[in-house]
Amino acid sequence: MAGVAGLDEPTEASVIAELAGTVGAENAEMLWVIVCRRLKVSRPVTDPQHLIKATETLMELGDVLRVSGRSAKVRLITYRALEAALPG
Amino acid sequence: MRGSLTDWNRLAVIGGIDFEHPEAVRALDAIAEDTARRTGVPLSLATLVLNSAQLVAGASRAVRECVPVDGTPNEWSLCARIVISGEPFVVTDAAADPRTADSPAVTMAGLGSYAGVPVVLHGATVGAHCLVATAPQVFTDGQLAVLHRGAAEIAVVFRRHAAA
Repeated sequence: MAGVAGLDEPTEASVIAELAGTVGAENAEMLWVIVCRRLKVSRPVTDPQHLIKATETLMELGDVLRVSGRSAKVRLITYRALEAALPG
Repeated sequence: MRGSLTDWNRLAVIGGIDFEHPEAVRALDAIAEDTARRTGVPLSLATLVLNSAQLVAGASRAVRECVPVDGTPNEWSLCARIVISGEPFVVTDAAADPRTADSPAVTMAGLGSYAGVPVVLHGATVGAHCLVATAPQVFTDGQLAVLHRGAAEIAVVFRRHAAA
């Protein structure tokens, strides 16, 4: 997995894993399917913009999901900002 | 009170807060700015520590002007340590302190010193109120008292913007 500044690149798998830490693996997988259907994107979601959209959609699904979604979005945006700012 | 970053109850308390409501952000920015003014340390933040990242819920003007992102991964977050321990965290020389010397906040972002205190809502440590400096600095009891007062005010703002 490629990384910048010691931070692993966020992926669909890492976002689902973080979500699983909050709601459990089965629920996380199910929620991700719902999010992808809503966005009409196919899996695996690899486009960073689609991943950010997915976290925003997750945030609309409930209070704790708003926290998990916002958390994942911070990680995605931080990674992109570092990638843009750092050489190589 | 000690806490786990992924504790369901803690995340549910945070999830109940409308933390991106413009009025809440304005109030939190004002508290952080007041802390910066009273302590003479320009960089002050009100953070919410989410499950995998820290969100800057409020910040002093100096932070808003120079920091392009609105949060950091929890691996970078010193406020996350406060949530885990439930105790204030103070580092006078972050590059020399073994607790922080390897942190990307120090090696990448150039953090020199840090003082933070817990923000507690409904019995859960939801985040922190902190001062950050780019150089080593000793924080006085007076500055820490300002942080504690600010943290209590931040909790009031969160409560005002939380679901009943």
